[in-house]
Amino acid sequence: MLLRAGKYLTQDYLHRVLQDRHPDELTLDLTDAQFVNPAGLVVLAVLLDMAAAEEWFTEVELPRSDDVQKYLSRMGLQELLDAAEAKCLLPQVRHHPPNLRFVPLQRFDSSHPAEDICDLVLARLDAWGDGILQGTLYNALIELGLNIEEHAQESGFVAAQCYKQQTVSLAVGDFGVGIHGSLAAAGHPFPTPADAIIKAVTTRLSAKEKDGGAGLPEIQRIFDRHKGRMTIVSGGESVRFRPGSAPRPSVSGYPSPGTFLFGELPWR
Amino acid sequence: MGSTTTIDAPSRMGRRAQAVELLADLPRSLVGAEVTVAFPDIAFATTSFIDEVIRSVLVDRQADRLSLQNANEQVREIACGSAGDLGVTSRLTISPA
Repeated sequence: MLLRAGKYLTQDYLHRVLQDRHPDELTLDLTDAQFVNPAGLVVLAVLLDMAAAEEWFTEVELPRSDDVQKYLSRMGLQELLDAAEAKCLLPQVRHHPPNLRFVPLQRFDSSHPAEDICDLVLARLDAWGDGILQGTLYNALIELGLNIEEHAQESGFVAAQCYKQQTVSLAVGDFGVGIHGSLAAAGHPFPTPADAIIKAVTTRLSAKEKDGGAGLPEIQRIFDRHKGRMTIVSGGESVRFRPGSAPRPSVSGYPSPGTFLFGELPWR
Repeated sequence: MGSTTTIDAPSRMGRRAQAVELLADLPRSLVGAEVTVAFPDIAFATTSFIDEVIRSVLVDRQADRLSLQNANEQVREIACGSAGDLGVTSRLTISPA
């Protein structure tokens, strides 16, 4: 897998930067990256975690930008670089007192349940908008974590950040079998990954597990109710969900292991 | 006349299992009874938790009425959505914070 970042490493540029070039190898070329958001960060985390799990040869070129290097360090990427034996060192940044604009990368798996992010999120909520935005973020992040626990076969990651009291950006991702594969295995085959994403978001396809999360339809409802935007990438295709608009699929054909959800909520 | 049970909700409400635990002492059937869930002044809730409370009290245990007291705007939004999905809106009372 090759990821060669341009100036922006965000959800809107993923289709340009990911290539399935070398099996059993991961190359992350971040040299030109000047802006990385939680979406780009979670993609890096998932790729590095996959490389570590599969014992791929991993090569990473760090960004030229000191600011981006510090951002990646602040958001907790060093631990994943080390686990993938990438042999590169991000600059150290002060973590205390915590910067309230960021929810750093947080892993979800059976030994890191969704509640683990509660303290991280709640510690920051006083600084993040009014009670409604705070409650919405709490709801969205915990539900997304529960969803990963329920559906991802491996671990997943979440990260979030608020931007100048205007927008809160959050991202989750995992390298499970993806929505298309997951639904097919459950007896719900769909012609394309985008079809599967839309169906999973707009229809309750399976009965709720007793301890399952709210599921994608409710997560989409959370974003819609608060005029937020959501993009889901799975199986190499993506679908954008915007308030009051029909889902917009994009068949880009780029390799994306697992499933990613990128969301933005307006500050209110 | 039916009984009324009041339960204090925690300030952080997460997964369904937490709601199941909160309601564990309620009888299996609440036919003829009312349940009040009182929320603290500062409360963070997930859709899963509120949905499970409404489902468990009004659908599974068939209580006559569920009252959510001191519910903030977020809890009210979630509760209205869940009650609508479950078809139990007429048996849900919400008192705002």
